[in-house]
Amino acid sequence: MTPGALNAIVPMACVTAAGIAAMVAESFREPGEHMPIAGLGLVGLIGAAISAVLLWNHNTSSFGLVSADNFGLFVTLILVCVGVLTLAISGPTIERERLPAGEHYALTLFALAGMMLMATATDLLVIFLALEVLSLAVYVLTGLRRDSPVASEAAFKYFLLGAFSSAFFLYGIAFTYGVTGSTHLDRIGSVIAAGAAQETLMQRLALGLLLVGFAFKVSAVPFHMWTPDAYEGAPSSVTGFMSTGVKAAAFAAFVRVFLSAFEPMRADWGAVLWVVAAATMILGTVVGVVQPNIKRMLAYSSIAHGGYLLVALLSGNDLGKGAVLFYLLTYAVTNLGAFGVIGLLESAGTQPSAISHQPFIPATGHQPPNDQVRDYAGLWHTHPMLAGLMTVFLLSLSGFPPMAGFIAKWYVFTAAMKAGYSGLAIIGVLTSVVSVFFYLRVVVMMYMTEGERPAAFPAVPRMAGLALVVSAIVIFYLGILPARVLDWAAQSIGTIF
Amino acid sequence: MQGWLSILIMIALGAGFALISVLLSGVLGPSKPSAEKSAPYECGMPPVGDARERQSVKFYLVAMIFLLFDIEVAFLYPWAMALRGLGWNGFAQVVLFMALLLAGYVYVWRKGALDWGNEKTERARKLRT
Repeated sequence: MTPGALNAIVPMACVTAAGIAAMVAESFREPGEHMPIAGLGLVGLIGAAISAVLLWNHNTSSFGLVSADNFGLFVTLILVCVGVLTLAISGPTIERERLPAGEHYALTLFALAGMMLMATATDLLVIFLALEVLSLAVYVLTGLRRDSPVASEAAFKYFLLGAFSSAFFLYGIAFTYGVTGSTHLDRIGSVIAAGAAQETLMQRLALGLLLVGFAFKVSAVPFHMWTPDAYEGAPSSVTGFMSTGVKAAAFAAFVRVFLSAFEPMRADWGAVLWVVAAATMILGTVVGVVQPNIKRMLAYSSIAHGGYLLVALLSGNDLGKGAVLFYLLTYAVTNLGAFGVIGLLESAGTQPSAISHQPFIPATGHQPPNDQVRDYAGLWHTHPMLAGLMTVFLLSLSGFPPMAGFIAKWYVFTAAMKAGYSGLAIIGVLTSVVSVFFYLRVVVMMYMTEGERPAAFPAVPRMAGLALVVSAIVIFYLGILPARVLDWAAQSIGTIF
Repeated sequence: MQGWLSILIMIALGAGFALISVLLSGVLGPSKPSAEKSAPYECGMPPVGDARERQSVKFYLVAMIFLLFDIEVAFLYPWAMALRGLGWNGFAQVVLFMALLLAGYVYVWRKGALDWGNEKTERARKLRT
């Protein structure tokens, strides 16, 4: 084995090492003792970021299974952003819900390692392995509030449906292997391209099964049922993490599999994906309008955003592929910011007590969480800073011009127009307009409605506050000066397609 | 046929040892039967009864942990057979694998998952209430 043979897996190895360190540190922590476990995770993520930057443009590959091309590295860097923001904003949620801190951080890091592997894997079996690594960690994170029936229900639903969809994905791999004799993406691509004229039923079956597996993970419409329940039941920081990280990893693999290996079969999956994308955008938006719970509302918004990403994927031209990457970055920063604010406000009213650092204490008798839209009434009068940040995040999600969300959507719809999917572009613009209604509903609540918010409010932790402010700055930066990041995105797609 | 003969001898020796042990203990040993002794298993769940019986969740935890560390051995056997061919590189990989499992073992141990109701879990329960 040559010394450089392992280079491509260095980013995920850093994150895994940090996760194991967090796990061991937690086991040596006495009850009630404070330990900078999140700091360990931060060190691992910085290591991953540095190695990803050093690997940029080198196009290294390990074992012929993991390829650190620029596309994978771009997604790896998005995932590092997701990880850092998650670590920064999860403090208040952990305190309030009395979650086991070490396990929370360790599982987050393990999930991130799986996501990075999924974004860089070039073999279907490794993609499946990575999918399971990230899914198992996220199932547990969803049910981390062990004393809450809602959380248990959410985790159980997510686990059952996730296991079911994994089976679909695995059968898709098996049938693909049966048709092409390989699980390696390059090989599958060349075999399918060679025999594209005589497509068999089995080949279509394999394609369909893989499509179901991916559609579940990105919560596209016929397979979205788990999303609102899982997002509502999970702790807020975890919801932010899974709505952005899982989506980024799943879309990276989705793009890699469908736009390289299965590109010759576009005639087969194009029409299906058209319908799925349209249904995802419409249902996510329309059902989101009537949600009284802000986490459910953002869950449906997340489904709708998955639909826009599907449009970019379906466009398949260079603009569309670049738009997928840019959109994932924008969505990660924006959505994590929004869930960061939600996590902070949930903790309003319950004072952190002296025993709050001890793990596994049932949180009995605390007031219901502030997660209804009407709980945000009058936030502007009591916490102008938080209200302002939340406004930035929500407006960016809806796609208002100076924010990053506008540029991301604009590129997606331009790509769709250029690829001849004007119908999808029109649906996308219309659903965006409708979605403005439910995002603005929260903004109107915060600014124009008087609330009976109690004055008692725990101080915003410095790390979380800093993370939110940085997210908002990044949103404005990406919205006003997107050229450089768009260039990087365009460069990185050039390496694999 | 030479090879098969040795296998036959092996079977005969094994069967003979088992038979002679059972017969000898039946003839020589004192016989004081009791209800407990005539049960199929002296410890564990009674094999006949209502299937919907409550079981301690600890069994589940121990079974899971056993399964995880059992896999470790399943990986070690093929490595041991191919040790010379794999060389130091293979050795380093197995050591890394063992170190990762060891980290998990330390976690499981320190968290008290291996304790069966002794003072450590008692302390944790007191902290909870």
